[in-house]
Amino acid sequence: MSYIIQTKELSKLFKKTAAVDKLNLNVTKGDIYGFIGQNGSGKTTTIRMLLNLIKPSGGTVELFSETVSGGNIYRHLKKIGAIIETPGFYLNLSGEENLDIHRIMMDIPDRSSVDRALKLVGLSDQKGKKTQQYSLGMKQRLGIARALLHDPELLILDEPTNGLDPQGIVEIRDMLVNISKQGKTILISSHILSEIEKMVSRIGILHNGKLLEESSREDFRKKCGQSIQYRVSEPDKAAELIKKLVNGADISVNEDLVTLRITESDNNGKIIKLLVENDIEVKESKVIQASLEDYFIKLTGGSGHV
Amino acid sequence: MYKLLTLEFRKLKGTFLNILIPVTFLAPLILVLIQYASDQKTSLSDIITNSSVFIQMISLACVVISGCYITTREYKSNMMPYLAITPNSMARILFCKFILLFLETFLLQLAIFGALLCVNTVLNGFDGIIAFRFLTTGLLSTLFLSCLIPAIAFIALWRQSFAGSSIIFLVFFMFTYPFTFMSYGYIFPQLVPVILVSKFLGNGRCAQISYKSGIVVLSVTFAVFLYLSIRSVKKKG
Repeated sequence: MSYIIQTKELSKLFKKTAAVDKLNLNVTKGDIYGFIGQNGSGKTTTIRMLLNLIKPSGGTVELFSETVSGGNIYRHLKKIGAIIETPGFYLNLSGEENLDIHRIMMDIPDRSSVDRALKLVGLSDQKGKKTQQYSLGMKQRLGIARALLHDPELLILDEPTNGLDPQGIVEIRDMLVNISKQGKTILISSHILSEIEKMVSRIGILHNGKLLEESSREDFRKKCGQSIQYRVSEPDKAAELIKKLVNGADISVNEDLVTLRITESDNNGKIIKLLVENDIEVKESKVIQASLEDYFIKLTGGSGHV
Repeated sequence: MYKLLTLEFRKLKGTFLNILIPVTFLAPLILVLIQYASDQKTSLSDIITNSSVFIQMISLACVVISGCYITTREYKSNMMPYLAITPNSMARILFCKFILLFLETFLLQLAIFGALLCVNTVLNGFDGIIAFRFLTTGLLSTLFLSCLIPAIAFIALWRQSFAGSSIIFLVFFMFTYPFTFMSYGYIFPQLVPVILVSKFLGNGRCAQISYKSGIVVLSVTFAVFLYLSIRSVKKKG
């Protein structure tokens, strides 16, 4: 398997506190990798180590299947586009001038790459405006344009949807999915799980500097599980009947709602039949997919407010 | 290197330096002309000599403010990580900033002493000796002030703030200013350009310090802070 990013026992200590603790991250080519964790979990520190902005206290970083060292980092950086925390710009210059400065610094001879990048993020009309007049959302878009400017193989985006309105978030999400279809690999960190969930192919959950889980979105979905909710006339009686039918059923009752946590919905027909036969009116029945957010909170012991 | 230097010039667009530099150029000229207009018994050349300390102080203040701004602007606008992830070393970027500051100092000194020479020529006719002295003063002033550029950059990198670093440098200068006219004033590197240039222009109050001591202090300051600033920018990149 071809890994674009692989870390081995990557650690970062600030004084005696481990911001990142023996992290083994595996991002394969073409992935949209969601790097999830609450604020202060070590996401940005990890990203800064991947980009050689800070030195790890231990472990190694491999980019494009090559261990990163002082000697080869500049070669790798040419293949990476990044947003690190908040996107910074020369506020006295326009968006176009900022991108042109970055173009020259990245040794890109093609001047039209600036216009292409601005068009891609929908800022062509605002390119002449000074960046100090840009809204936060516009700055985020310009940051993405800068990250895409040199057509990188790998995009590392630290909270790229911060400050964007809902429509902007959807647009960026669609854009990243399209970019990924071109064979590019994307590592995207966020603490807003609902955003990540809809676009990623793999997910890594970071908590207190440790990678708690890493697998594909489908695997996570399976782990998240489902539940069936029944709105019934006699909820306590219904719960007792379901318990008898389904061995070890995880049932909760709330007003007229009976919720059964399941791994498969095969029993649903049998349950409804059973309830009806016992003169319980079933007003509504629906299957609910547990969100990644619920799973995250469960995984982090309820401390992960995301 | 050339392209990075060009970018440093481009980044100056729309900044307050576009006002500061002309003001720094005009201030000594206006001061000298006002003094000449109010006291025509003294020759213009003597007025320039007497005002040499003030002229150098203005130039130093301009270099400090420009240096702190140019070095810290990437911190203020959160651009440091974005510079660090381009295939250019931070030391090279810093070196370009030094060259930019050197060129700014050179042009400023040339403009100040060139303008004073022009005024002197208009008022008193061309004098080859004065012309040579003014132009040499401009060059010496450029060299002496440039020796302080790494120290200014180091303080700016340490504080990572334009206002904080320029205030530290200028307040330190103000507190040590009285030593300008003392025989051991050269121990404060920031005073040395003021002292040596004034001495070269014939200002008697600065005559007691030898060129040798001043140049040694400036050279050591340049070397030490060049090393420290490059080390600092590599660490903080």
